[in-house]
Parts: sequence; C-alpha cells; structure tokens
Amino acid sequence: MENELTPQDKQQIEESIRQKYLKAAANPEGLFRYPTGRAGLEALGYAPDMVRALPEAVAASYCGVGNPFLLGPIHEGEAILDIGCGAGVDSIIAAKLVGPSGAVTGIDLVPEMLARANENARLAGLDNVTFQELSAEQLPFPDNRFDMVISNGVFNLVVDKVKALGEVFRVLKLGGRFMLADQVLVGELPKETKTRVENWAR
Amino acid sequence: MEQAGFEASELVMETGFNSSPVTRGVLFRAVKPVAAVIRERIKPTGAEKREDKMEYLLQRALDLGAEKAKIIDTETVVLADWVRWKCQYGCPLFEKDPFHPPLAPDAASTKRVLGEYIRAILINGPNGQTLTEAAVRLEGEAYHRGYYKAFALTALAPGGGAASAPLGPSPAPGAT
Repeated sequence: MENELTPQDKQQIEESIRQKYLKAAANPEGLFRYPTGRAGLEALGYAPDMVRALPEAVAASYCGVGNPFLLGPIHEGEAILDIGCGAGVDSIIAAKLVGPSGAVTGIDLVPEMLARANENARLAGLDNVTFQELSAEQLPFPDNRFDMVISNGVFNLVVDKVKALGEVFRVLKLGGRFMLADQVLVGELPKETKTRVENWAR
Repeated sequence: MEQAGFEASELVMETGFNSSPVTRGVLFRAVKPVAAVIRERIKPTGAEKREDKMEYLLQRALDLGAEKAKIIDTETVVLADWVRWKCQYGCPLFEKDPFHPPLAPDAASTKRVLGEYIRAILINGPNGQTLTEAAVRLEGEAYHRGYYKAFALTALAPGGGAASAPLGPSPAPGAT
C-alpha cells in the first residue's frame, strides 16, 4: 500500500507530521488520546525513580505511546539510537542508563522538537546525548554502530517502513536489540489514497 | 521484521493506550542475529578446524531431517519462569514424562547449565520426532569430534515413547 504513495504524498505526510509535532514541541498536553507529560510516564510504567529525577519541564514534554525500556535492560557504556526522539525524554532516560561511558543519539524530523530535546538534555545535565535532524529512512551512520535502537510512537508515521527497518538493522551491531513502542493498525485503512495521506499523522 | 533480517522478533504486550479507534499500542522487540558474531570471532583467530567441525554438524543436522540449522550464542537463549505456568495449566504433557514439567529442569537451573556452554546448534523443522532423533544423533557425532559436553536438548523423548523415555531430562543440540 505504501508503495502507491507518490513523492508528493510523502511530502504532504511529512509536512503534516512537522505541523502536528511543531505544536507538540511547545506543549503536548491535549494533542493525543493517550496520557502525556509526567502522568504519561507514570501511566506507562517508567521507573518511578527515573521519572522523579526528571526536571519538571523535561517530564512535561513527554509524548510517547509506550515504554520501550520495559523490553529489556540497557547496559552501561552502550551506544543507543532513539528514532523519532521528539523532545528527547526517552533519549535522556537512555543516557542516564548508559552512563558517562555510553552515548545516545536522538534523531527527529522536526527542528522545533530537536530544539526542545537539546534544552531538555541541558536541563537534565547530560553531555552524553546528542540530537540530529534525520529521517529514519536514510541514516548516515556506519554499519554495526549501535548496541540498541529504541523508538516510541514514530514508526507508524514513517512512510517507507521497510526501508527504515532495513536501516535499523544495518546500524545495529550484531546481536543488537531493537525495542519498539508503537501503534499498530487493527482496523481498516481508508481506501482512498488522498484520505490516507490526510489522516497519516492524526 | 524477519524480512529486514531480524530474528527473535516478538510482540511482547499491548500498552493499553491507543491513539485512535483503529490502532492499538504495542511493545515490540527484535534482535539482529548474532551467529555472524561467532563466525567473525572465529575466523581471525585461526581456529578454522573448529569452524569446519561446526559447519560439518550444521550440514549433518540438515542431512538428518532438520529444515534449518544455525549456530547460536547460548547467551541469547531467553528463559523465563512464566513458561512453566503455560506448561502446568493446559498442556496435556504436564507430568507425563521427564521432558516436560514438573520433571524437566526449571528456568533457573536451565539458565545455569546453559551458562556453562558458549554455543549451541538450533535446529528447526515441522516434525518433532525427526528433530529429536536428529538432535540425539548430533550429540553423539559432536562428542566424537571433541565436543565432550555436547547435549541434545529436546522436547520429546527419542524413540517416540514419551512416558517411557529412558533418558533424563532433555538430551542435546551440540553445544560447545
């Protein structure tokens, strides 16, 4: 189905994502059907001590659909890639878990989100996390670069998911783990391509 | 996920939070295969003989009826206590033979024993009995090639008789 989309459709989808998350960068409250901010972190089962340690402005910027850290441990010294990092809350938590000897790279399409992520990392006092404006479909990293890739509520928005998954596979080290929190479709897609494109980021 | 090359891909749970009436929140994980790690680790060290022996055992597994056979790192085997409950409640083979709970080893002791191994051969195919026989044969062949700890970890008794199985818990893919 995704292959039926034209480059213009893709452009329209990416623009609608930017517009939606431009608003979320300022304040995600009320923009999503699931809990956001500190309440969202608590509802999704993030470690209470980790949530308590987050500065208020950092916690308030959280908008994720699940808790990828429930899927397995992150070890000190590991290199982590956060795809669709948004305001960087998961990246910050990962950076605390890998410690000073590890490193986290967060990527996102929305510059305003990345600005918020950089500010959040500063507020959290971390210097082992960096953020870049990149698409999951074309990662500039070398093969076998990361111990783990995490992603939270973003893959459902990626236009070419097969390509993005291939990129995740490529940049993971052998034995590397992919931990994904996301939304999967359980109902019917709109039949018309136009409607699908318009509803992509809703 | 498999199409991209991942293995052990698993939908672990639903989050309970859905962004629309036609979507469902899920947690999903997958692993990039580690078998190649073993090959990369072995080849530069000049242990070609060891590699050859494992390659031989992989081919033998296929010859003996397995559809797939691969070398895995035993550290990647996931063991969890909840599996035992699945066996205890609803499995007709519970208490029937030494290959199933409560006589089969529990997760903790299996984990301990697996920790004494580095590698295993994972074999896969549609016929459980064929795989069982293949695993037991492989155990013997691995032993005679110097893998003295080789042990066939199977879910069925060799010879087809579940309850009358003469062996103790689960005999062996060739682990080294």
